[in-house]
Amino acid sequence: MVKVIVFVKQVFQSSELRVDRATKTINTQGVPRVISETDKNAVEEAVKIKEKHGGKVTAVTMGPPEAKEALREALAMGVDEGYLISDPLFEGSDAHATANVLAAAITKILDYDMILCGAYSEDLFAFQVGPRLADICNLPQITYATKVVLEGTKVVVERDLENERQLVESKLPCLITVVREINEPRLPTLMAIMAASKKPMTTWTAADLNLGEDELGFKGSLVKVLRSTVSVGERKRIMLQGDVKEISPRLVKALSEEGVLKAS
Amino acid sequence: MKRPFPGLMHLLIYAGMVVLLIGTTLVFLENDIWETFFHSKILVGSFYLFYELILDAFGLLAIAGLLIAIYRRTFSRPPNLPTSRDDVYIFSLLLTILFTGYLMEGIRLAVDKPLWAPWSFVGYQIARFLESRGFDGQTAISLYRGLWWFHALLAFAGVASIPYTKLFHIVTSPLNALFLHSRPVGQLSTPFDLRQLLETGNFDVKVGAASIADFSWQQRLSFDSCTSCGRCTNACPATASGTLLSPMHLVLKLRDVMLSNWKSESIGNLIGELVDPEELWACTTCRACVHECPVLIDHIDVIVDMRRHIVTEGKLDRGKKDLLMNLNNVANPYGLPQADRLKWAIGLDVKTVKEQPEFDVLYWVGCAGSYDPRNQKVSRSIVKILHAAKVPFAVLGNEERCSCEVARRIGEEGRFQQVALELVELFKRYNVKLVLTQCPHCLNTFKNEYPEFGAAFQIVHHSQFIDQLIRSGKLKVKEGAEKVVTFHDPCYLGRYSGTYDEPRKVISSLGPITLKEMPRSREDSFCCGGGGANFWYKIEQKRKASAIRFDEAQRLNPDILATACPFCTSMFEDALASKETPSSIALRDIAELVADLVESS
Amino acid sequence: MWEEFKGVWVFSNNPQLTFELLGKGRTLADQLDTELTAVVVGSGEDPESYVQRGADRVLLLADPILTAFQVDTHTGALAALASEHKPDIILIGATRDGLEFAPRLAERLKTGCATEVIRIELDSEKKFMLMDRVTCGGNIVETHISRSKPQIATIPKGLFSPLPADQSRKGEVIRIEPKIMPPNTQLLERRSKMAKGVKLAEAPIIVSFGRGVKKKEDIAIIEQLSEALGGVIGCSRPVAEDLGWLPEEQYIGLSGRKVSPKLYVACGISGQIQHLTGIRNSRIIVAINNDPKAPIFEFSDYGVVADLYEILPLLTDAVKQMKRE
Repeated sequence: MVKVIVFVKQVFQSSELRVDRATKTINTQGVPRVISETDKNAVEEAVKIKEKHGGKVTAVTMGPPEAKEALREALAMGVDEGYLISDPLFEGSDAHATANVLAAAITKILDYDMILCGAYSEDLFAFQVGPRLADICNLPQITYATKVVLEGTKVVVERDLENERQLVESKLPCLITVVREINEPRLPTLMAIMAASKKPMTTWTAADLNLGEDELGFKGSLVKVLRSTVSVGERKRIMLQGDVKEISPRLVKALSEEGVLKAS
Repeated sequence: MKRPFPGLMHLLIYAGMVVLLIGTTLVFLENDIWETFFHSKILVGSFYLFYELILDAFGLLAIAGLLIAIYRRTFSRPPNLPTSRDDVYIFSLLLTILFTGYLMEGIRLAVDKPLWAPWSFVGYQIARFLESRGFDGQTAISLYRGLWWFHALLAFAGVASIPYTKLFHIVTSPLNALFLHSRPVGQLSTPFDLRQLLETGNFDVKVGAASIADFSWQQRLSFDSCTSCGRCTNACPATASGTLLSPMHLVLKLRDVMLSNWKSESIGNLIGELVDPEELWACTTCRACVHECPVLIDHIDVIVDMRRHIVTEGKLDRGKKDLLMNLNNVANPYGLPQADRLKWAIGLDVKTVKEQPEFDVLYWVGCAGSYDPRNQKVSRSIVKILHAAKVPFAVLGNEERCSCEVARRIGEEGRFQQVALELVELFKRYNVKLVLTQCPHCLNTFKNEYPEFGAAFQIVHHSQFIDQLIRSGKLKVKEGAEKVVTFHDPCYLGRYSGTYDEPRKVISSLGPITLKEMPRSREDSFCCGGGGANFWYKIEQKRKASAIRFDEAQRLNPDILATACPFCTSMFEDALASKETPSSIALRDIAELVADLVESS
Repeated sequence: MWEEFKGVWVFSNNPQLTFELLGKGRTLADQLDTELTAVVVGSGEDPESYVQRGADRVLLLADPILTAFQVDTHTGALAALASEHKPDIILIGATRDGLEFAPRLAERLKTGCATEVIRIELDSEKKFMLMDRVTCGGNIVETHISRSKPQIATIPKGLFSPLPADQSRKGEVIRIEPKIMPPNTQLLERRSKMAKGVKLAEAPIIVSFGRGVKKKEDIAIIEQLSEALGGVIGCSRPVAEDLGWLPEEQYIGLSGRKVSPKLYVACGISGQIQHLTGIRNSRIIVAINNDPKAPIFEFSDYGVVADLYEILPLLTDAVKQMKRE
């Protein structure tokens, strides 16, 4: 019997974001909200572990009220209960403030053996929340998991690094972040999602978690976003005319200015 | 008699045996009932003479049929016609019964020597032969008695064996035909009604079939009706492509499991053990199998039910998941932005229903027509035609969304119904009466599936609409150049919708056109391979159906291969691009051909 | 309080990457008029080499526990050092190790961190770090500043250049023996991965071709351009599935791989919808095709109507020329 908490983040589908050329801002109207891909992998892994060992999976998400849909999808995948942590005070939270809130949530839930989440979120690709959360809760962290095997009170994890694969063992409880290669998340049907509305879903605010204003949102953040520059919009459709001999260096120069010729 | 040669063969055997059965029954009735109780005979006079003649004739026909059958299986060997112990047994049994029957008749005539013997012309010849050998006395009578019991025993053995051999189709096939679902062609089964579930709030519905018990009794009866004739498999594009799917073998596998486990309640999960999911995914729902089947088995019905189960489990590969997620997130299977839906119309005079609330025709562009550069050309052609014929039309613009026909075929019934209900509302809101589409898949689902969800509009395919416009004189078409054209009948326009002539009439009205028909055309058309959601995911196959079909067209050496479906067009473009030696055939949708010859207004 | 924090530190368990960090670190340290320190775990490179590459000081952590990178032990060690010495800036290499370590270290020190930055500048007045990073699927570049110190940034490989090794540079090498608790996870096994080359799905630069290439041998001109750009090659479906010129793992499209490189060069690809769905997340698409009506041009950022056999060698030369400069 194992109790797993899995974190999911609802993000905008980045491929659908439109750039308003005039105001140079991102238009999010009508853009579908989805669960970040690696979080789906985390949910799938958690449900698989439960199916094998028995136990319970709890999904937690911090977000606006719309994030309930993300929880519903996770419940439809086999998660047992969901917690939405939502409060206007959370707005402007950076990774640290977010980790604080999530840590408060799991402290309130209290009963867990393992925490699973995606190694990074599909919108920010920051890789930060997992390790920060592990540090706040004083948990061992195992990242980039491609395979998780539960052995009693221990877990053995296969990790994928650039040049090597590792096998790492940890006592429970611990925090594990997963990457896409770990599994193929099941896709719940519409019926499954509708049926999942019956499963328990709780909403907590900052007050429920006993968090003071100073720890939250922009006030509680350690990083500030000074400015945002919207860079890419529609395809440019620039046709280069002329002789091939003189087009070639022109094209290379243009690409260099786009910043796409550096190796990394 | 779709296939004349085996059809005739079966008719001979079947008719022969039935007539002889009636004949022997009459003898039994007369001897054991009529004479016993009423002290009179029925088989008298000229009736009796004709009776004898007909029985002998049909006996010959039955033998002829059986010999043809044996020839077919030993010499001409059509593909996918396995010859089993069953078949050898049946042929031997029936032939032995027939031969002993004639022999007995011969002996009887030789011994009794009635005046009317020549009416039983086969038996008569045998009798004369026996007489000439002096075999008409006591030994003959003893032999006759022996043969009589032998013949009777064989006949009863034959009857007793009916449930254990493929002869069972004598019982099951007519029953299957009788109890076949009465849904219109093209409408898949509806396992639940989303509207009801939304009301009750109970979504715990079992969807899909993973074991024999999950199939309806009518479906199970159909498994038992299969006569292993192999026509379905021979027509199946998935089989021809070298995938794991063979419709006949799928049905037989299900039948075998059903029969061997008929007592046990839970046969367990078939999919994965007995049926490889790849068999199910390889089906393009082209309907060739259902069309061919002489006993009216609906293979597609069965396959989709199994797909529904897999989808409910959620264990789909990346391609299928992406398809469903795209349909959900951005309302089109390509995953392209919903806001780009009208990009194809930039520079054209195309109004949305909001801009032009008064319109006669709602032009349903469809996802391919909106997003696929190849099919956007067809959309532009249709707009040109509509303007030239002065048809007041409007489009839905960014409110248009995928009809989700593909979701239903892949097995995501809930999503399909949700969208169907939404679109029906949308059409009601804009007072849509007539919808024009260039996609036969949209055509089929709007016409045959959406009415169940409240749709009350007419739907027409662009081939039918253009044909009407030309014939009514509303559309004037210039005289085109001389061309040799072959038309590929899209499965969902032809077999599903019965529309074969209109596209051909449209093509023929474009000038001195020579229409060449491919060997497999009209209701025998061979699928391009794009249906049943196959366009959207990877299939393990040896040779793509589109390549096979394209070669079939190429052998006619036409100038143009004409299509009328965005999937067909895209699949054939792919086939064209895959050729080692480039082909000179032009691939055009009939709308493009017409638009070329229409004056822009 | 902020004034207490002094010095630019760099850390990576990859020596080559450390040299690159030192390259930028040197610039920052000079601008801030402060010391550049390389924090290095014992064994491996000769500590002097870091001095030669620009460090004023090398802190050599000599506990054998630290030899194999483990986030637990390294966080403990560096957090202790940072608390003691109060560096202003810490640059950490954005390897997978670095990316799991930097945020944990930042949390331990209760400070801010920006991961995988693409640009670092110092604010002209107050001299704090302006760290640029990409988000939102490549649509947005955000400029982050840390509201506390040390300011931590993780730097991907190849962003900065190392300084050439200068034998004459002088610097301090300080050997430290931190007392480290054993790690809270056990490293059971390490298996080296065969450098199979970058997977298409992760490749930042892809040069791809379709039926415009007439013979299998001609793939060489595609490979040459790809090599010059430092990318990998891909193809459209018919090339892999029907012609078999490349393995199936290398075709891009609806039923094949989906890619999201910074640069996608499509040579002799017409642009059927099946292919386009596989490449639409590319940052910049360049299309080369001799058919001006090819649908791919609608989908590209830069298009050239030309014979690929003519223009590809010229492009390859132009790229090599640019890289030399």
